[in-house]
Parts: sequence; C-alpha cells; structure tokens
Amino acid sequence: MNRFEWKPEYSVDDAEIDRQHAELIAIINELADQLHGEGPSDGARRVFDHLAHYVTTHFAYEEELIARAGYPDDRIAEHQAEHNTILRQVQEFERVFESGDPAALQALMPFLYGEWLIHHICGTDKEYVPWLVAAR
Amino acid sequence: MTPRQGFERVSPTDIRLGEPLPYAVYDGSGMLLLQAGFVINTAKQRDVLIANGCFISNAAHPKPAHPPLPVASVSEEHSSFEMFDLLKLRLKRTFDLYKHGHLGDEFVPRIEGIALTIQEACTHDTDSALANLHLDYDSSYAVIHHLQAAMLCELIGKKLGVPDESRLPLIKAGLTHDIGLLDIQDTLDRQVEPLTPLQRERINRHPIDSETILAGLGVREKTWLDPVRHHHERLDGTGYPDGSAGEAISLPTRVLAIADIYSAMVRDRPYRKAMVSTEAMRKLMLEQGSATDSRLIGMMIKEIGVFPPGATVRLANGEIAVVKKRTTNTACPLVFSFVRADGMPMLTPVQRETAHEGCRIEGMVPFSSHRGSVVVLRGLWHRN
Repeated sequence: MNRFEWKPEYSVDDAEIDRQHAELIAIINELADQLHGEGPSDGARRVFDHLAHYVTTHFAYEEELIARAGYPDDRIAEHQAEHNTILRQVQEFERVFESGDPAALQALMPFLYGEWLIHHICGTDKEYVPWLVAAR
Repeated sequence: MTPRQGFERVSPTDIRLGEPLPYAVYDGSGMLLLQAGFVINTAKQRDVLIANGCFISNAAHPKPAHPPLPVASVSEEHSSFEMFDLLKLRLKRTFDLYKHGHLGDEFVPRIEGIALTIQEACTHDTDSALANLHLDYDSSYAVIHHLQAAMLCELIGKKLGVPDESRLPLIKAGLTHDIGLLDIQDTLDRQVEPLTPLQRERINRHPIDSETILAGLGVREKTWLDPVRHHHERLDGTGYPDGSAGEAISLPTRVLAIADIYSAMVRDRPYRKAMVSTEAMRKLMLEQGSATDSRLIGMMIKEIGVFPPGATVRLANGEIAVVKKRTTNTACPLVFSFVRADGMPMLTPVQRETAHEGCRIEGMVPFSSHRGSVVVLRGLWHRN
C-alpha cells in the first residue's frame, strides 16, 4: 500500500532530485509496511539499511548540485548541517535496530515523515529551487 | 482514505501554523505520523499533511500545556541538544529570508514555532539546551545571541513563576530584539575600527527600528513589541531610546535587558574576547548594579549555575573539563575531563567528581583555547 506518494508540489525543479525524492518516499512506504505494528523485523532492518545507504548518496548528489548552481556558500553549509543532523538521527535509529527496542522504533516514522518529508523535502529543499532554475 | 475505527479526520482549520500539534497525528491505517508537539510552519506543509490523510485518535486528549518534544528521539538527553542544532538552522534561515525580503506572512509563525520549541527543549532538558549554545562557535553572532537571550528569558521567566503562555511573547522578543541591526550585523561582527557616526546612530535607534520592523511583519502583541523597544532602558534612567527609569520599565523588559547583556558578554566580539560566564556574571552584578534589576541577575545565576553546562573549567588536578550537568550544589556540577594535566587531549572524556578535593573546580577557562575538541565534546551529548 502506498501511504505517501511523491507529488508535483514537492518538486524542486530538477528531474534527478525529484526522482531521488520519489525513490526515498517509496523506501519510506516500504519501511512503513514492514514496521507496521511490529518490532524491528529482519525485513524492516533490510529496508532501513537500504534507506541509510540511499540517503547518503542522495545528500551528496544534492549538495554537489546546489553548489554547482551557485547556491551561496553559507546556505550550502546550513543545508549540509541539516543533512548531517538527519544522518546522525538515522545513525541513532541504526542503534535502535541493534538494540531491538520496539518502543524507540515508534519514533522512526514520525522522524521520517515529520522532520524529513514535511520539514526538509517540503521546506528546506524548496529554498534552493530559484538557484537551480537560474542556473539552467 | 476511510478512517479506521477510533480515528477521525483532521480538517485543515484544526492545524494552527507555527503552533505545536496538541495531539499525535496518524494516517488512515492508524500508523503514527507525527507526535504531539510537532510544529507545522507553512500552509504548504499543512496541505501535504492533509493530502496524506491525517487523523487523530478519538481517545486522544489535547495536552496543549506540555506536548512532547517535536522531534524523534531515542534518548532524552539527546533530543534537546539536537533540537537546538535545528533551531540554530531555523532561526538563521528565518533571518536570511527576512533579509532578502522573502518572508512576509511567514515570519511570525516561524518565530512562534521556534519560541515554542525553545520552551519545550528547556522544559525537557535545560542542561543540554544551555550546553549547546555555550559550546557553539560556528554559528553567527546574530543567531546565537538571539537564541541565548530567548532561552534566558524563558528560564528567568519560569523562575519568576510566569505561566507558560505568558512567557512566550518574551521568548519571541528575545528571538527578535536586535532585528533592526540584522542588515549591518555581519559588518559589525568583523569591524575592529571604531563605529562610524552612521553606525552609532543605527545602534542608538535599533530598539525603535526593531519594533517598527516587527510591527511591519505583522507582530501585534504589545507583550512582544514592548520589551523589544525598551531592552536598552536602564533602571537609573541612563538607557535609550526613551530614557525610562525605575518602575516605568516593565518586568519582562528588565528580564530581556539582562538576558541581552549576559548573552552578548559570553560571545567573542571583534573588539574583545568572550568573557567566561563567571566573569560575565560578576561584571553584571558589579557594574550594572544600579542600572539593572539585581534580583533578576541573582535569579539568572541561580538558574544557569555558576558553571553552566557547556562551560570549560580547570580542575585542581590540572585537567580541563566541560560541565555536562548542573547539580544541586552549584560549585560542584557534573563534569567530564577532556584535556589531561600535561595538556594532551583525551580521546574519550572521563567523568570527574568535582566534590572530591583532587577534582575541585579551580576556575573557568575560555573555550577558545580548546576549540579543537568541540567534536569530542559534542559527542558527550550525542552518545547514549
């Protein structure tokens, strides 16, 4: 079941980033299905590992792209810092998977959905759009 | 999506921008999407939430007073520290957007969101919140100064027994009191030469400018605007812009004045190095005696501690340590040594008992001599 779908209003005006965001949302969907109501299963762990790996590549790609588009250095630094905060939280959840604590795992979906999708993809990422458009 | 039994759909009008959700939000299948306390800042973000199917549990009882922290967290200590990392980014972005004229109606909800999160983070774990700002040497002066002033307003206001709701306008005043200087702040931060006459004039009128700018951005609350306009007034009448004195200066304004002075003192300025917090507190007490409210200064010192979290101290055994937590004895906080007596940094900080004579705190040292250790030190708040 697709809980969340990538929508045109999430677009940052770059086809590749949009594709990567859609893929991230697809992984989050899959993870939500694996997690639903249960503790940390092997399936959920596998999907989470994929997410952790995918996001590192995605963040690197995005940072490179906005740098090339002439996004100001201080805002890149700020964007990277937000990426790093998300990555640190992803690492925290890796530890949660290790410890197998179902209660701590309940915080995973609100993190992915709230901090990441709502605040980052639908908030912070939108701010570099004018630079990507101008760089074309 | 049809709601599951026991859940009801949330309408867009139920979600107030910039305010923490009073209840947890679920999707149609009953999966937790957002914890109570999460802040939605923009209409677009709200639309995304609604479009994804947004439900609350019928069993949920709104708890507006103390919703949980709006962040996923796996460890209590971890979240307030991390939350301040995000707050620094959010305030910086808000200031940047304002400077570029890109904000309009969004300014007030953004500041309100940040203010609420400060209140939550301080309620949840004051030590981590204090430490985060004391340990920051990367963020711009404008961001750290405003966040620190806002946090001190919250802590002193709470100590005074002001209710949660009434403290919010003062936190917002703390977050924005120098907005009238934002456009020249970067220049002032680098300038070692004396101020030009124009800069002097801008500084003298910045409380009025800040008030005017905030009103233009849609701020209507007098309890927000008033402390901003008067935060440089002094009890003995020597302040500006109106030269008010004594009882004419409201209590919230006095609180902001102290928060502003202290948080400026403990940061590096182009014309002087940052003072360690004990020195700043002593200076506040001695020099500001007749100009500021000494009762409030005492209250602040009591609240944040003589050695606040994040402060670096020298121990009797020669080691340099960082304060992790306050304890009931302000002279003996919980500390971790990170530089050995021979000056070599430790790979892993070690907890020391400051109540023991050998590890007694001898005094504070400026953090600037130990900036190389910042990653190791921040790790103290990141690890479980």
